[in-house]
Amino acid sequence: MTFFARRDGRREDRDSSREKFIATIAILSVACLLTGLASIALGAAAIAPARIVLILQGEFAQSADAMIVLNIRLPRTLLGFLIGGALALSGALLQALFRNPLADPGVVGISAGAALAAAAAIVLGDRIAAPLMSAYSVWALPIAAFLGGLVATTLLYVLSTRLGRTSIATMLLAGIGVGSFAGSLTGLLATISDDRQLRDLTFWLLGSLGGANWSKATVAAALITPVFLAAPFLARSLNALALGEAEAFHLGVRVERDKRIMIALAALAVGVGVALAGPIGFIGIVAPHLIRLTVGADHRLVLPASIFLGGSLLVLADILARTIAAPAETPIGILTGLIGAPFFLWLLSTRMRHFE
Amino acid sequence: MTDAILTAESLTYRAGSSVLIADASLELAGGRMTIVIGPNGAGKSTLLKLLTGELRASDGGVILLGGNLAAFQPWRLACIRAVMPQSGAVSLPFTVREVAGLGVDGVGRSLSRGEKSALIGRALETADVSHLASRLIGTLSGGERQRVHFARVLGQLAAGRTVAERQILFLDEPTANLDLRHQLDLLDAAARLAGEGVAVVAVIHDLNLAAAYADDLIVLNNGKIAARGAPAKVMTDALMSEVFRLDVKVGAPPPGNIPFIVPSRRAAAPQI
Repeated sequence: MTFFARRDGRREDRDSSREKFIATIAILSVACLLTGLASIALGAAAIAPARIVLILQGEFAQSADAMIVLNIRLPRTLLGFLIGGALALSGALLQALFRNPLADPGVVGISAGAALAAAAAIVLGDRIAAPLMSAYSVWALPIAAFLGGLVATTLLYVLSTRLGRTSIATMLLAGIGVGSFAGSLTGLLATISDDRQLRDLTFWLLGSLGGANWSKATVAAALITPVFLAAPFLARSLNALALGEAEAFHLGVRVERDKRIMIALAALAVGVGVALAGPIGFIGIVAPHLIRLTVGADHRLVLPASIFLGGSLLVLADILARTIAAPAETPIGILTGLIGAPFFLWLLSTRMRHFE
Repeated sequence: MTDAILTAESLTYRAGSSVLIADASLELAGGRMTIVIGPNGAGKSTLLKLLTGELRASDGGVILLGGNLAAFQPWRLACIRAVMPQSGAVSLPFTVREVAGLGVDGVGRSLSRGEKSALIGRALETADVSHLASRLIGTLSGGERQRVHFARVLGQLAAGRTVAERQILFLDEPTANLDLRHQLDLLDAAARLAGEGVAVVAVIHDLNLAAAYADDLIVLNNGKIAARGAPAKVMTDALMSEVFRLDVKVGAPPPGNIPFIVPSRRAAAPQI
């Protein structure tokens, strides 16, 4: 197809942008549909796609298959799409904001801050506010993680902003500091946790969609969907920021306001993802990169396409996570790392010249 | 001058204990090309940043079209003035057309897709980068990239003209990486814009180019405006020698048999 990247790194002119947008989103929607169907079909008990369609239409309501599809795999798949999309979107936002195509929620310490807050809620929540935690735990973790991510990001922002201007380099370095500190505190929490908490914590810190249920999927949908809907309004600002903050201002962008919105959206997306599935790496780097390499860097397309691709990738990783060592589940963070890290290094070595 | 689009009144800018711009007053009028010259560290870029609104003056103020520059919304400001920066690094793999389109996209919100595309096409043409339109910006040479940014600001001005009648174009060392022909092409295009009523302000290091294109020359030295006026009046042996700390003779060929090439502008100076 002509609108995809050719080997020489040229792309079609912007004039074909609407066709490119529609074709890209259509292809990614089909990919989502297929991975979604596979995710519902595959697992300890395989269920034929035709039967899944019938079950979704309300047939076989009393069967074990219907129970598996409706109560286990469907919410898990939806959760995977939402969190994968959120991670990919936050990666795309941070990469534009920090003018660094290698930025990732993990790199700038947002994941670590979110994880610390969520770990604190797991370990300390029982002791401090046990009734509250048991009643609202499904909301408590995402909100704690969002606040943790927001605190980490705000801290970075304050550390690296002078006279209303943010230095990207300082911010990245501060991110390493904040991330290490949050990581150490999380480790400290692990040492004071009891056996059950430690097991919870360890498995959760590796990342997993294993605990998915409808209440988690609902929480994820309620908190992440607004981020998906709000982010595309920032596309123009993100495009302009690629030239630099001063240049974006000259182009008419309200730089400081838009940066704050981007940080809040990224923190919310990462916080919810971390809280419900643990810190899952590399989706935030791999998905936006793949999109940019194939259809270009215009955020009007990169943002929605990253959401779709990130969702598919995470659902795909989750299918592998529960099938390769079945009946045992492999933590999904290990899988995204195993596949994502070498892929990322390959991208780096072959494509870095395009990013200056 | 009563036709001033922008008036700066005793601008002073301090960073820490050092004064980068001291008590600078100037007016920018439509239809005139103002060129700022001066040695490294004279404050040329700082002065430009104060005039574009990127920096806020420590003392003094900038009046744009009768209003306080600091009170303008960024979008409104972007319709009135475009700024071509010194360094043109782009952090993401955009194509040339996409980068050039950023100016039109941001400012021309009310334009149709066809109108935008036509403005971008014309800007690419003027900056002589049409043939690079589908290349990735990161694969271009420094000079080519600079021309793409020139196309971007041309597009921004053209889109802004649908909203704002009186405009300013700021160019910070626009000719730094360009070959001789493209230097003249760029400055000719800027002079044509001035001919259409835009106030053009450029920082230029090449004194010969500055002399050839300036309606108004501003000589900056140690953060102060040392002289201002027509090149023939301002470029004297004494002032140039003093400001650039070098013994120079204006208009004298180099001694000995050294060949020298001084470009002269091709388009006639606009009649004012």
